[in-house]
Amino acid sequence: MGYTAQLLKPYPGAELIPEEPVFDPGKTPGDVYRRLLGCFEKLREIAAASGEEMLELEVDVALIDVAEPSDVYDVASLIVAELAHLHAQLPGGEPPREIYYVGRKFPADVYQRVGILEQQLVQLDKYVGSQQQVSGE
Amino acid sequence: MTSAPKPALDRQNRTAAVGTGSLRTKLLWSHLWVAAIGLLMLLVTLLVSVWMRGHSQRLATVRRPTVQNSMLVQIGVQQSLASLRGWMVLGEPKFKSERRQAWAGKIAPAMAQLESLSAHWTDPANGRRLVDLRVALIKLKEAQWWVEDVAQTPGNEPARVMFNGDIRKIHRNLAAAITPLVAIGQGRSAEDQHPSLQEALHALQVDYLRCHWALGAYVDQRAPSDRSIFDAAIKAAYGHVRAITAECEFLDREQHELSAARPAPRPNATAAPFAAIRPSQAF
Repeated sequence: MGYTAQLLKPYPGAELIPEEPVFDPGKTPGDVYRRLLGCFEKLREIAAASGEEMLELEVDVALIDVAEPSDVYDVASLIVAELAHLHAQLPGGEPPREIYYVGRKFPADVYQRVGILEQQLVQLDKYVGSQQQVSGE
Repeated sequence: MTSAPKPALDRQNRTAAVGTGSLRTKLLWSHLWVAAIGLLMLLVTLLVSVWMRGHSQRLATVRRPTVQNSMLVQIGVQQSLASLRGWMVLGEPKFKSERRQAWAGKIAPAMAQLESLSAHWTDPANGRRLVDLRVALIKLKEAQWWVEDVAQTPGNEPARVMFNGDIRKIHRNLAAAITPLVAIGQGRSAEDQHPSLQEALHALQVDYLRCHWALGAYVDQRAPSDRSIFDAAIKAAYGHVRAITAECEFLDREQHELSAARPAPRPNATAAPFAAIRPSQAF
Protein backbone atom coordinates (compact mmCIF):
# COMPACT_ATOMS: atom_id res chain seq x y z
CA MET A 1 0.00 0.00 0.00
CA GLY A 2 2.91 2.32 0.73
CA TYR A 3 4.33 1.68 -2.73
CA THR A 4 0.95 2.13 -4.41
CA ALA A 5 0.38 5.39 -2.54
CA GLN A 6 3.71 6.63 -3.88
CA LEU A 7 2.77 5.52 -7.39
CA LEU A 8 -0.50 7.46 -7.11
CA LYS A 9 1.16 10.65 -5.90
CA PRO A 10 1.96 12.14 -9.32
CA TYR A 11 -1.73 12.10 -10.23
CA PRO A 12 -3.56 15.11 -8.82
CA GLY A 13 -6.93 14.21 -7.45
CA ALA A 14 -5.94 10.64 -6.65
CA GLU A 15 -6.97 9.31 -3.25
CA LEU A 16 -3.63 8.00 -2.00
CA ILE A 17 -5.16 5.75 0.64
CA PRO A 18 -8.82 5.15 -0.09
CA GLU A 19 -11.46 4.43 2.50
CA GLU A 20 -11.11 0.90 3.85
CA PRO A 21 -13.93 -1.47 2.91
CA VAL A 22 -16.37 -2.69 5.54
CA PHE A 23 -14.95 -5.40 7.78
CA ASP A 24 -16.38 -8.71 6.65
CA PRO A 25 -15.79 -11.39 9.29
CA GLY A 26 -15.36 -15.07 8.57
CA LYS A 27 -12.99 -14.78 5.64
CA THR A 28 -10.60 -17.62 4.89
CA PRO A 29 -7.04 -17.49 3.54
CA GLY A 30 -8.58 -18.68 0.25
CA ASP A 31 -10.71 -15.52 0.05
CA VAL A 32 -7.66 -13.35 0.68
CA TYR A 33 -5.69 -15.35 -1.88
CA ARG A 34 -8.40 -14.82 -4.51
CA ARG A 35 -8.51 -11.09 -3.83
CA LEU A 36 -4.75 -10.86 -4.05
CA LEU A 37 -4.78 -12.70 -7.37
CA GLY A 38 -7.25 -10.08 -8.62
CA CYS A 39 -4.84 -7.38 -7.47
CA PHE A 40 -2.00 -9.13 -9.24
CA GLU A 41 -3.98 -9.21 -12.48
CA LYS A 42 -4.75 -5.52 -12.15
CA LEU A 43 -1.10 -4.86 -11.50
CA ARG A 44 -0.17 -6.74 -14.65
CA GLU A 45 -2.54 -4.54 -16.65
CA ILE A 46 -0.96 -1.42 -15.13
CA ALA A 47 2.53 -2.69 -15.87
CA ALA A 48 1.56 -3.57 -19.45
CA ALA A 49 0.08 -0.10 -19.96
CA SER A 50 3.30 1.40 -18.61
CA GLY A 51 5.42 -0.75 -20.93
CA GLU A 52 6.81 -2.89 -18.13
CA GLU A 53 6.99 -6.65 -18.18
CA MET A 54 5.80 -8.68 -15.25
CA LEU A 55 5.74 -12.28 -14.17
CA GLU A 56 2.82 -14.37 -15.24
CA LEU A 57 1.07 -16.27 -12.49
CA GLU A 58 -0.91 -19.39 -13.21
CA VAL A 59 -2.83 -20.79 -10.29
CA ASP A 60 -4.98 -23.88 -10.24
CA VAL A 61 -8.50 -22.65 -9.42
CA ALA A 62 -9.15 -25.74 -7.32
CA LEU A 63 -6.24 -24.83 -5.09
CA ILE A 64 -7.42 -21.32 -4.34
CA ASP A 65 -10.06 -22.37 -1.80
CA VAL A 66 -7.62 -24.55 0.06
CA ALA A 67 -4.90 -21.89 0.10
CA GLU A 68 -3.01 -21.55 3.35
CA PRO A 69 -1.63 -18.40 5.01
CA SER A 70 1.82 -19.22 3.62
CA ASP A 71 0.37 -19.19 0.07
CA VAL A 72 -1.18 -15.81 0.81
CA TYR A 73 2.18 -14.61 2.06
CA ASP A 74 3.86 -15.81 -1.13
CA VAL A 75 1.50 -14.03 -3.49
CA ALA A 76 1.56 -10.91 -1.29
CA SER A 77 5.38 -10.92 -1.46
CA LEU A 78 5.17 -11.24 -5.23
CA ILE A 79 2.83 -8.24 -5.44
CA VAL A 80 5.12 -6.19 -3.19
CA ALA A 81 8.11 -7.11 -5.37
CA GLU A 82 6.28 -6.04 -8.53
CA LEU A 83 5.10 -2.82 -6.92
CA ALA A 84 8.65 -2.12 -5.77
CA HIS A 85 9.79 -2.64 -9.35
CA LEU A 86 7.20 -0.18 -10.66
CA HIS A 87 8.07 2.27 -7.90
CA ALA A 88 11.74 2.05 -8.88
CA GLN A 89 10.79 3.27 -12.38
CA LEU A 90 9.17 6.39 -10.91
CA PRO A 91 11.56 9.32 -11.31
CA GLY A 92 12.15 11.04 -7.99
CA GLY A 93 9.73 8.78 -6.15
CA GLU A 94 9.90 9.00 -2.37
CA PRO A 95 10.57 5.77 -0.48
CA PRO A 96 7.50 4.11 1.01
CA ARG A 97 6.73 4.21 4.72
CA GLU A 98 8.66 2.08 7.12
CA ILE A 99 7.16 -1.35 7.73
CA TYR A 100 6.00 -2.12 11.26
CA TYR A 101 4.73 -5.14 13.11
CA VAL A 102 0.94 -5.01 13.19
CA GLY A 103 0.45 -7.92 15.57
CA ARG A 104 -1.59 -11.03 14.95
CA LYS A 105 -4.33 -10.62 12.37
CA PHE A 106 -7.23 -12.71 11.11
CA PRO A 107 -7.76 -13.44 7.42
CA ALA A 108 -10.74 -11.05 7.55
CA ASP A 109 -8.39 -8.22 8.63
CA VAL A 110 -6.03 -9.02 5.77
CA TYR A 111 -8.97 -9.27 3.36
CA GLN A 112 -10.11 -5.79 4.41
CA ARG A 113 -6.59 -4.43 3.98
CA VAL A 114 -6.26 -5.99 0.52
CA GLY A 115 -9.50 -4.16 -0.31
CA ILE A 116 -7.65 -0.85 0.10
CA LEU A 117 -4.87 -2.08 -2.19
CA GLU A 118 -7.49 -3.15 -4.71
CA GLN A 119 -9.03 0.34 -4.76
CA GLN A 120 -5.60 1.91 -5.11
CA LEU A 121 -4.82 -0.31 -8.09
CA VAL A 122 -8.17 0.48 -9.71
CA GLN A 123 -7.35 4.18 -9.43
CA LEU A 124 -3.81 3.66 -10.72
CA ASP A 125 -5.12 1.63 -13.66
CA LYS A 126 -7.56 4.43 -14.50
CA TYR A 127 -4.88 7.13 -14.36
CA VAL A 128 -2.28 5.11 -16.28
CA GLY A 129 -4.92 4.24 -18.90
CA SER A 130 -6.02 7.84 -19.37
CA GLN A 131 -2.39 8.97 -19.55
CA GLN A 132 -1.74 6.40 -22.24
CA GLN A 133 -4.78 7.63 -24.19
CA VAL A 134 -3.50 11.20 -24.01
CA SER A 135 -0.01 10.19 -25.19
CA GLY A 136 -1.59 8.03 -27.93
CA GLU A 137 -3.58 10.96 -29.26
CA MET B 1 -39.48 119.60 -24.84
CA THR B 2 -41.27 116.38 -25.07
CA SER B 3 -38.45 114.61 -26.81
CA ALA B 4 -35.76 115.65 -24.32
CA PRO B 5 -36.39 113.11 -21.60
CA LYS B 6 -36.56 110.28 -24.14
CA PRO B 7 -32.87 109.36 -24.18
CA ALA B 8 -32.86 109.44 -20.42
CA LEU B 9 -35.86 107.13 -20.39
CA ASP B 10 -34.25 104.88 -22.94
CA ARG B 11 -31.10 104.79 -20.89
CA GLN B 12 -33.15 104.14 -17.78
CA ASN B 13 -35.13 101.41 -19.53
CA ARG B 14 -31.97 99.94 -20.98
CA THR B 15 -30.34 100.05 -17.60
CA ALA B 16 -33.42 98.43 -16.10
CA ALA B 17 -33.51 95.91 -18.93
CA VAL B 18 -29.86 95.22 -18.53
CA GLY B 19 -30.33 95.00 -14.78
CA THR B 20 -33.29 92.65 -15.19
CA GLY B 21 -31.37 90.54 -17.77
CA SER B 22 -28.40 90.21 -15.47
CA LEU B 23 -30.50 89.03 -12.58
CA ARG B 24 -32.30 86.59 -14.78
CA THR B 25 -29.05 85.32 -16.19
CA LYS B 26 -27.60 85.13 -12.74
CA LEU B 27 -30.63 83.27 -11.51
CA LEU B 28 -30.48 81.00 -14.52
CA TRP B 29 -26.81 80.31 -14.01
CA SER B 30 -27.35 79.82 -10.36
CA HIS B 31 -30.09 77.28 -10.99
CA LEU B 32 -28.06 75.65 -13.69
CA TRP B 33 -25.13 75.37 -11.31
CA VAL B 34 -27.30 73.88 -8.61
CA ALA B 35 -28.77 71.45 -11.14
CA ALA B 36 -25.31 70.60 -12.47
CA ILE B 37 -23.98 70.00 -8.97
CA GLY B 38 -27.04 67.93 -8.23
CA LEU B 39 -26.57 65.95 -11.41
CA LEU B 40 -22.87 65.51 -10.67
CA MET B 41 -23.65 64.31 -7.17
CA LEU B 42 -26.27 62.01 -8.58
CA LEU B 43 -23.74 60.66 -11.04
CA VAL B 44 -21.12 60.21 -8.32
CA THR B 45 -23.69 58.54 -6.08
CA LEU B 46 -24.68 56.30 -8.95
CA LEU B 47 -21.09 55.36 -9.65
CA VAL B 48 -20.43 54.77 -5.95
CA SER B 49 -23.60 52.70 -5.73
CA VAL B 50 -22.57 50.63 -8.74
CA TRP B 51 -19.08 50.21 -7.29
CA MET B 52 -20.46 49.31 -3.89
CA ARG B 53 -22.94 46.92 -5.42
CA GLY B 54 -20.12 45.18 -7.28
CA HIS B 55 -18.02 45.00 -4.16
CA SER B 56 -20.89 43.87 -1.98
CA GLN B 57 -21.73 41.24 -4.52
CA ARG B 58 -18.09 40.13 -4.67
CA LEU B 59 -17.92 40.16 -0.88
CA ALA B 60 -21.06 38.06 -0.64
CA THR B 61 -20.32 35.62 -3.42
CA VAL B 62 -16.51 35.31 -3.44
CA ARG B 63 -14.69 36.78 -0.47
CA ARG B 64 -16.97 35.72 2.35
CA PRO B 65 -17.33 32.12 1.10
CA THR B 66 -13.56 32.02 0.53
CA VAL B 67 -12.86 33.08 4.10
CA GLN B 68 -15.61 30.83 5.40
CA ASN B 69 -14.32 27.77 3.52
CA SER B 70 -10.71 28.50 4.43
CA MET B 71 -11.75 28.56 8.07
CA LEU B 72 -13.70 25.37 7.57
CA VAL B 73 -10.57 23.68 6.19
CA GLN B 74 -8.63 24.91 9.20
CA ILE B 75 -11.29 23.69 11.62
CA GLY B 76 -11.42 20.34 9.81
CA VAL B 77 -7.65 19.92 10.05
CA GLN B 78 -7.72 20.76 13.77
CA GLN B 79 -10.57 18.34 14.31
CA SER B 80 -8.82 15.56 12.41
CA LEU B 81 -5.66 16.11 14.46
CA ALA B 82 -7.63 16.12 17.71
CA SER B 83 -9.36 12.87 16.71
CA LEU B 84 -6.02 11.33 15.78
CA ARG B 85 -4.61 12.27 19.19
CA GLY B 86 -7.69 10.77 20.82
CA TRP B 87 -7.17 7.51 18.94
CA MET B 88 -3.48 7.43 19.75
CA VAL B 89 -3.99 8.04 23.46
CA LEU B 90 -7.24 6.22 24.19
CA GLY B 91 -7.55 3.78 21.30
CA GLU B 92 -11.31 4.25 20.97
CA PRO B 93 -12.56 3.51 17.44
CA LYS B 94 -15.00 6.46 17.54
CA PHE B 95 -11.98 8.77 17.11
CA LYS B 96 -11.12 7.02 13.86
CA SER B 97 -14.59 7.67 12.47
CA GLU B 98 -14.48 11.25 13.74
CA ARG B 99 -11.22 11.81 11.89
CA ARG B 100 -12.72 10.41 8.72
CA GLN B 101 -15.78 12.60 9.22
CA ALA B 102 -13.57 15.67 9.55
CA TRP B 103 -11.96 14.93 6.19
CA ALA B 104 -15.09 13.86 4.35
CA GLY B 105 -17.55 16.29 5.94
CA LYS B 106 -15.47 19.41 6.40
CA ILE B 107 -12.14 19.51 4.60
CA ALA B 108 -13.13 17.89 1.29
CA PRO B 109 -16.31 19.95 0.68
CA ALA B 110 -14.57 23.16 1.78
CA MET B 111 -11.68 22.47 -0.59
CA ALA B 112 -14.12 21.77 -3.42
CA GLN B 113 -15.78 25.14 -2.72
CA LEU B 114 -12.41 26.89 -2.69
CA GLU B 115 -11.52 25.25 -6.01
CA SER B 116 -14.68 26.57 -7.63
CA LEU B 117 -14.27 30.01 -6.02
CA SER B 118 -10.66 30.24 -7.19
CA ALA B 119 -11.92 30.99 -10.72
CA HIS B 120 -13.09 34.39 -9.44
CA TRP B 121 -9.96 35.27 -7.49
CA THR B 122 -8.07 38.24 -8.84
CA ASP B 123 -4.74 37.73 -7.07
CA PRO B 124 -2.75 34.96 -8.81
CA ALA B 125 -0.79 34.38 -5.58
CA ASN B 126 -3.97 33.03 -4.00
CA GLY B 127 -4.25 30.43 -6.75
CA ARG B 128 -0.71 29.30 -6.02
CA ARG B 129 -1.51 29.16 -2.31
CA LEU B 130 -4.49 26.96 -3.04
CA VAL B 131 -2.29 24.54 -5.03
CA ASP B 132 0.19 24.43 -2.12
CA LEU B 133 -2.67 23.88 0.31
CA ARG B 134 -4.01 21.00 -1.77
CA VAL B 135 -0.59 19.31 -1.87
CA ALA B 136 -0.08 19.84 1.88
CA LEU B 137 -3.51 18.39 2.65
CA ILE B 138 -2.85 15.29 0.52
CA LYS B 139 0.39 14.73 2.43
CA LEU B 140 -1.28 15.36 5.77
CA LYS B 141 -4.12 12.97 5.05
CA GLU B 142 -1.72 10.21 4.05
CA ALA B 143 0.53 10.83 7.06
CA GLN B 144 -2.47 10.80 9.40
CA TRP B 145 -3.58 7.48 7.93
CA TRP B 146 -0.21 5.89 8.62
CA VAL B 147 -0.06 7.30 12.14
CA GLU B 148 -3.57 6.05 12.83
CA ASP B 149 -2.66 2.66 11.42
CA VAL B 150 0.48 2.21 13.50
CA ALA B 151 -0.77 3.85 16.71
CA GLN B 152 -2.48 0.87 18.32
CA THR B 153 -0.23 -1.87 16.96
CA PRO B 154 2.73 -3.55 18.65
CA GLY B 155 4.85 -2.07 15.86
CA ASN B 156 4.42 1.33 17.52
CA GLU B 157 6.73 0.07 20.25
CA PRO B 158 9.64 -1.50 18.37
CA ALA B 159 11.64 -1.85 21.58
CA ARG B 160 8.95 -4.03 23.15
CA VAL B 161 8.59 -6.07 19.93
CA MET B 162 12.34 -6.66 19.96
CA PHE B 163 12.37 -7.45 23.67
CA ASN B 164 9.46 -9.88 23.45
CA GLY B 165 10.82 -11.53 20.32
CA ASP B 166 14.58 -11.70 19.77
CA ILE B 167 15.76 -10.75 23.26
CA ARG B 168 13.43 -13.14 25.06
CA LYS B 169 14.66 -15.96 22.81
CA ILE B 170 18.30 -15.13 23.58
CA HIS B 171 17.42 -14.87 27.28
CA ARG B 172 15.78 -18.30 27.32
CA ASN B 173 18.90 -19.84 25.73
CA LEU B 174 21.27 -18.09 28.11
CA ALA B 175 19.22 -18.84 31.20
CA ALA B 176 19.00 -22.48 30.10
CA ALA B 177 22.82 -22.58 29.94
CA ILE B 178 23.76 -20.60 33.05
CA THR B 179 21.40 -22.37 35.47
CA PRO B 180 22.79 -25.92 34.86
CA LEU B 181 26.36 -24.52 34.84
CA VAL B 182 25.80 -23.29 38.38
CA ALA B 183 23.88 -26.42 39.41
CA ILE B 184 26.61 -28.77 38.15
CA GLY B 185 29.24 -26.86 40.13
CA GLN B 186 27.10 -26.94 43.28
CA GLY B 187 26.59 -30.70 42.90
CA ARG B 188 30.30 -31.44 42.99
CA SER B 189 31.95 -33.05 45.95
CA ALA B 190 33.82 -30.79 48.40
CA GLU B 191 37.28 -31.72 47.05
CA ASP B 192 36.20 -31.01 43.41
CA GLN B 193 34.81 -27.59 44.30
CA HIS B 194 36.54 -24.52 42.90
CA PRO B 195 35.14 -21.73 45.06
CA SER B 196 36.32 -18.86 42.86
CA LEU B 197 34.87 -20.48 39.71
CA GLN B 198 31.65 -21.33 41.47
CA GLU B 199 31.42 -17.81 42.82
CA ALA B 200 31.97 -16.38 39.32
CA LEU B 201 29.29 -18.67 37.87
CA HIS B 202 26.83 -17.69 40.56
CA ALA B 203 27.63 -13.99 40.17
CA LEU B 204 27.18 -14.34 36.40
CA GLN B 205 23.73 -15.81 36.97
CA VAL B 206 22.73 -13.00 39.32
CA ASP B 207 24.12 -10.18 37.19
CA TYR B 208 22.74 -11.63 34.00
CA LEU B 209 19.25 -11.81 35.51
CA ARG B 210 19.64 -8.25 36.81
CA CYS B 211 20.66 -7.18 33.33
CA HIS B 212 17.59 -8.81 31.75
CA TRP B 213 15.27 -7.42 34.39
CA ALA B 214 16.67 -3.88 33.92
CA LEU B 215 16.20 -4.14 30.16
CA GLY B 216 12.58 -5.22 30.61
CA ALA B 217 11.95 -2.42 33.10
CA TYR B 218 13.50 0.13 30.74
CA VAL B 219 11.30 -1.02 27.88
CA ASP B 220 8.27 -0.67 30.16
CA GLN B 221 8.99 2.63 31.88
CA ARG B 222 11.98 4.16 30.09
CA ALA B 223 13.53 5.28 33.36
CA PRO B 224 17.19 6.31 32.93
CA SER B 225 18.00 4.57 36.24
CA ASP B 226 17.08 1.20 34.67
CA ARG B 227 19.53 1.88 31.88
CA SER B 228 22.27 2.58 34.43
CA ILE B 229 21.44 -0.69 36.20
CA PHE B 230 21.58 -2.50 32.85
CA ASP B 231 24.96 -0.95 31.95
CA ALA B 232 26.45 -1.86 35.34
CA ALA B 233 25.00 -5.39 35.29
CA ILE B 234 26.15 -6.23 31.78
CA LYS B 235 29.63 -4.89 32.55
CA ALA B 236 29.75 -7.06 35.68
CA ALA B 237 28.44 -10.08 33.71
CA TYR B 238 31.25 -9.66 31.17
CA GLY B 239 33.73 -9.51 34.05
CA HIS B 240 32.36 -12.81 35.37
CA VAL B 241 32.55 -14.36 31.89
CA ARG B 242 36.23 -13.34 31.71
CA ALA B 243 36.85 -14.79 35.18
CA ILE B 244 35.16 -18.07 34.19
CA THR B 245 37.14 -18.20 30.92
CA ALA B 246 40.37 -17.79 32.92
CA GLU B 247 39.44 -20.81 35.02
CA CYS B 248 37.86 -22.83 32.26
CA GLU B 249 40.24 -25.76 32.81
CA PHE B 250 38.31 -26.45 36.04
CA LEU B 251 35.03 -26.81 34.15
CA ASP B 252 34.05 -30.40 33.54
CA ARG B 253 33.06 -31.78 30.12
CA GLU B 254 29.34 -31.14 30.57
CA GLN B 255 29.97 -27.54 31.66
CA HIS B 256 32.28 -27.05 28.69
CA GLU B 257 29.58 -28.27 26.35
CA LEU B 258 27.01 -25.99 27.96
CA SER B 259 29.23 -22.93 27.75
CA ALA B 260 30.21 -23.73 24.16
CA ALA B 261 26.66 -24.41 22.99
CA ARG B 262 25.30 -21.16 24.39
CA PRO B 263 27.20 -18.14 23.13
CA ALA B 264 27.70 -15.28 25.54
CA PRO B 265 25.30 -12.37 25.07
CA ARG B 266 26.55 -9.83 22.60
CA PRO B 267 26.26 -6.23 23.76
CA ASN B 268 24.70 -5.22 20.45
CA ALA B 269 21.99 -7.84 20.72
CA THR B 270 21.05 -7.12 24.31
CA ALA B 271 21.27 -3.36 23.98
CA ALA B 272 19.22 -3.27 20.77
CA PRO B 273 15.97 -2.20 22.49
CA PHE B 274 17.75 0.93 23.76
CA ALA B 275 18.45 1.89 20.19
CA ALA B 276 14.89 1.00 19.21
CA ILE B 277 13.42 3.53 21.65
CA ARG B 278 13.53 6.69 19.60
CA PRO B 279 12.64 10.20 20.60
CA SER B 280 9.99 10.27 17.86
CA GLN B 281 8.17 7.43 19.54
CA ALA B 282 5.64 9.67 21.19
CA PHE B 283 2.57 7.55 20.66
